[in-house]
Amino acid sequence: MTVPWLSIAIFTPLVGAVLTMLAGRRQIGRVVSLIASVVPLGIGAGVLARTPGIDDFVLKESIAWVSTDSLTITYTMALDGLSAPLFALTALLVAAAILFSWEETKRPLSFFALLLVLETSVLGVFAALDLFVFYVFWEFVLIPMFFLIAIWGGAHRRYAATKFFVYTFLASLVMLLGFMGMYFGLPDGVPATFNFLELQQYTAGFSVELQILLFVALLVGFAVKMPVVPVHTWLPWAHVEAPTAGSVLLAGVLLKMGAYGLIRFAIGAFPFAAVKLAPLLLVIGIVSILYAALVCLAQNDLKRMVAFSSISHMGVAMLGIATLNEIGFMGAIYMLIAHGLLSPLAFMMCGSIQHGWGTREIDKLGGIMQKTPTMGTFTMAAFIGSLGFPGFAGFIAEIAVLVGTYQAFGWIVIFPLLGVVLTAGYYIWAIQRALHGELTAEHADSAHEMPFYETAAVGVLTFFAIVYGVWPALLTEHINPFVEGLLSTVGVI
Amino acid sequence: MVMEYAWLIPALPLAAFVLVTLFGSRLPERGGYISAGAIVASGALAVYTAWESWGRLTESFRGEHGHWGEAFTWTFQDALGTAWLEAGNFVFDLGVYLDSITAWLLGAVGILTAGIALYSIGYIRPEKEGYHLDDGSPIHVDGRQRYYAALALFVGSMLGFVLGSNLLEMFVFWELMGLCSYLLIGFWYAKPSAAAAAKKAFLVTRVGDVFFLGGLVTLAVIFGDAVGSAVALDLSTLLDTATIEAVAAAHPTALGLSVLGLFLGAVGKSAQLPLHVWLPDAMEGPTTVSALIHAATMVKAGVFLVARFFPLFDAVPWVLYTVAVVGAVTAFVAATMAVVNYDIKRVLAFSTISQLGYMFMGLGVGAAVAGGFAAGLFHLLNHAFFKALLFLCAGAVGFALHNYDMRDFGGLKEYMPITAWTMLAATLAISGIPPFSGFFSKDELLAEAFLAGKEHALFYGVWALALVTAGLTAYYMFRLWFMTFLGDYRGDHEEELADGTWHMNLVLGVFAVFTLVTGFAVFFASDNLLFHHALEVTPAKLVTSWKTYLSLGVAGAGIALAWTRYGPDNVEDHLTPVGEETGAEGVMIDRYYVTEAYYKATDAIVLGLARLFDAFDTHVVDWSVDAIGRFNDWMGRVGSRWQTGRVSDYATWILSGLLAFVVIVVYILRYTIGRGI
Repeated sequence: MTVPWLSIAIFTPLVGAVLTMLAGRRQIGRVVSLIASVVPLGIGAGVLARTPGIDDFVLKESIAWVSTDSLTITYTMALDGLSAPLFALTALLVAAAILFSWEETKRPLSFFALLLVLETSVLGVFAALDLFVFYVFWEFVLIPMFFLIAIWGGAHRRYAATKFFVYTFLASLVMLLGFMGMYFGLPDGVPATFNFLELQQYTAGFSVELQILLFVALLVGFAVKMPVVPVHTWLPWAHVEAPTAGSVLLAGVLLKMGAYGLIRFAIGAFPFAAVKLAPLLLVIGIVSILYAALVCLAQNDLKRMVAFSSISHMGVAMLGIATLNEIGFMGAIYMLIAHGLLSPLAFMMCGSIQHGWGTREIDKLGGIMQKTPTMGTFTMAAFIGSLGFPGFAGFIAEIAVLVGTYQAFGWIVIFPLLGVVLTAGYYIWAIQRALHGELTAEHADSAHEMPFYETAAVGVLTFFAIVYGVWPALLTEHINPFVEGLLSTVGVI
Repeated sequence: MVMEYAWLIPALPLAAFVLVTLFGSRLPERGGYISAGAIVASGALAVYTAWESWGRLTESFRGEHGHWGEAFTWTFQDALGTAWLEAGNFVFDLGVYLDSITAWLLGAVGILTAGIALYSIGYIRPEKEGYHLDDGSPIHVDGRQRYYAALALFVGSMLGFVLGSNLLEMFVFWELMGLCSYLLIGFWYAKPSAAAAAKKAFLVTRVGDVFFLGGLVTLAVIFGDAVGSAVALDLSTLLDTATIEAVAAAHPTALGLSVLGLFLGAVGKSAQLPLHVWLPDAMEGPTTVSALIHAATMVKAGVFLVARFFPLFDAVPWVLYTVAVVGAVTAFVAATMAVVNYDIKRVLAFSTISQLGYMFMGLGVGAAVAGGFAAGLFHLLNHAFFKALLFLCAGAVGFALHNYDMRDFGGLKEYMPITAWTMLAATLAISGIPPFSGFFSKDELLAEAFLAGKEHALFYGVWALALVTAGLTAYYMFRLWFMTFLGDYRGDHEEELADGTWHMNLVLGVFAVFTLVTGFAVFFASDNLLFHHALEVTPAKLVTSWKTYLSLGVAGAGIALAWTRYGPDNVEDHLTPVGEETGAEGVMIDRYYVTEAYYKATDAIVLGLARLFDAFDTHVVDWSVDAIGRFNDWMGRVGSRWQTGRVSDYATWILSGLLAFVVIVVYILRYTIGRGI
């Protein structure tokens, strides 16, 4: 009998959540939850390390769940070169978030348990290949995140949590319509199924209008989740109001679900529509990059700045997708991982600054490097990495997307290049005002360094952000076969 | 053979960077010995490699082997079996590309970095120079670990850039150099002026870098089209004459713009007009950093970039003409800013900008006569040594006085003779007085520009600007030396004045010897390799040419003018007190208000747009989203008697409405699809 490694990885955190609630004391509960979160991390890392160049689905499990004449739902789970890195990233970020929140005092057991529930649902999203199962995991993600924001969030937590929930839920319903359309669109005589691998064989045969219609429906659902301008306004609220661990997972993995869905399902099922609508994706990507970068420049709250920068970075991913060529696509997927490491790092630093200095307002900070050099150094690493500097993973993504953009769209590459300057502008300016300079902060006397558990969490993320920036072959060996497979089956290359 | 191990040259300092970053606080001198040791070892290896390869490589300028003839190449793909970055048809690999241009710079960088690392051990003390805020209160932070980590990273990046075998690899190291420059300019980050200077350096050079990036991206695609092979941005492809011709025929505009992009990257890095504004402010960093990064090596990277890709530039003559004009104008304008300044380091910074302009001018002149190219590279080598020496001497003065304002100097020759005499050697060199090195290269630059005038009248203008600049250079450099070392001491704390530590003096002496000897290389190097028949310089030719006497005369006039105004007898009458500069002097002191104009433009345009977009986001985009929610809520109030008005209700309303919508759409879909529409 083969061991269902993937299911073990997905559901261990759920079991861990129950055990954490039963633990009774924070000192025990946090250890239990950390262990539970490390299990999927080990399995995810094992897949990446042991399979040189993942070029097909691995750890595949498939069980018929509902099977009638008119409806087939299968529990089909597997990982490939697209999902395996995201799977491992999710597990890494939850472990890091638990570590970062080691001394959480407000209802700590529920807090850790919700993080683990969230982990199970996100892991399920990345592994599920049956649309129905995918949708269940996808919507379930909202529940733990809603409570994380609504209970542990900042001053406007209720408003932010509701807005997050309603906005993304509505968008998901449009996505669900798209799924239904795929299901009902199957030609006669074909067994009706939600299994995407089977659906995919027929979707390309749909009429052109239907393909475009369904693609747009899926795009709406995924674009809100990514998010891109103009459907992004839930994000600054949710990110700013969420507790640090919540922001880490929002930016690190929840946004990736949108891009993942777009690549896996929308483009995987309707490549023709993707080709037709590539100009639309291009415009969305470029507007997101420039619009969000400009808004970043005007921010005074560090966390709000980092939140808007996520929109800008997701714009880069969208641009890479729009190129529909191998290098641009590779860059888009690389951006998901790079941003998934660097943005959580930046959010953690915002959290540390909040703890250590009592504020995140740039004009009330100043001299962080002087008083708390460790905090200052990691913040600098986070910001310089996020602005796409060589040596960090973000650079690899950016260069690939830029080359892909020139290859696909020629001189339009000027717009993302403009974004590169603006991005450097807001991060470097923030460093000057918040980290450098004299000790002008309001609470400079009581400011204190980050505790060891926070340092450990940000250290791990910094390490990986640099590893994937220095030696990209570690990731591209998995991503490239997937991209080649996707683009060749869809007939683009 | 040693070239196989050339990858160790950047790898050693990079390894030291990792060590010092992680464990520096526990190492002796906070990692200083590890860092300096690795730099000296890699410098020695660099010099040896340069020497070895010089003898083995055959070169010819625009010769039969394409442009540059043979090069030694080595890549990680060969060694490890995996390329660095692969996607689709693009395979970017790291490696080593060693030809005579590489060797030329490799040897110089090796010697300079080793010397300055040694000097640093004596110079960088905890709580020395600059360790105080503007109000004079000291900062008790030991920055040595940061300093030595960044120094090692810088040296590794510079050597990696010089040796790089791929344009993308070169760009990565180029950016890392910029990062080190940023970190070291902001070394005393607690000083607001240092923090502002660091930001300015990063952002201004970033503007240039983005043009570089655009050029790089374009080159990757258009060369990929032409070659069709899996190797992207590889130097042996980019420099291959036949390939360049094919690309120039297929994509003339794209090639021209991408080459212009590379040049604009160089403009940023080498602080040429109009991106020169960051370099004077970069003097906020420790003086060793000014000497190494902002005089001898990193700012030369731009010149090296143009020289390295000269075959590409050569295919687009209008870009090379631009290079020549930008270089000549920068040389002149920067020199006019240097003649009125009283900050010793800023004078040297303006002088660096001006001299870099000379080098670009030479490369641009290379469009018409090959000798211009050779003279530009030759001046690069000479300038690296004499400008590093000038900065190190200024550093020794600052080490003793804790001050860089020349109005407070005077008579220092009595107190610090080693510094005074070595600085005089460098001053003579930069002023172009034989037998010091600057004479040979500057003379050649002028002669080649004049010669190029026969090809295109534009170059006569370039030559005239360069000639005037030579006079200005001699004037401001001797103004500096007279004000500093002659006359009577004008400051206080006289008893503390002395030469620096032995590390520092040793390096000053060695570099002074270099300023005396490197110039003579022209007689030996002219008949082979880099200068193959491009520089036909013999002592007899030099002595008989009228141009030699013209440039000597101009320099002499500059020195004489400096003596009449700033010689020991007259200096007191010509010192303008702080803040009382007026008229033309004021305009030049304020650097023609270029910086202010940039700040105002950025503030008005970029930040204005940013505030506009931010307001739009809150008051239009997000407001509309909430408005939809409020509308639903209102509908709920009107249309239902069991409305409660609670926040959660508007969610309920939207959801139920949507659910109905879903059901309807599903039925419509089913109906339409069922009918095959």
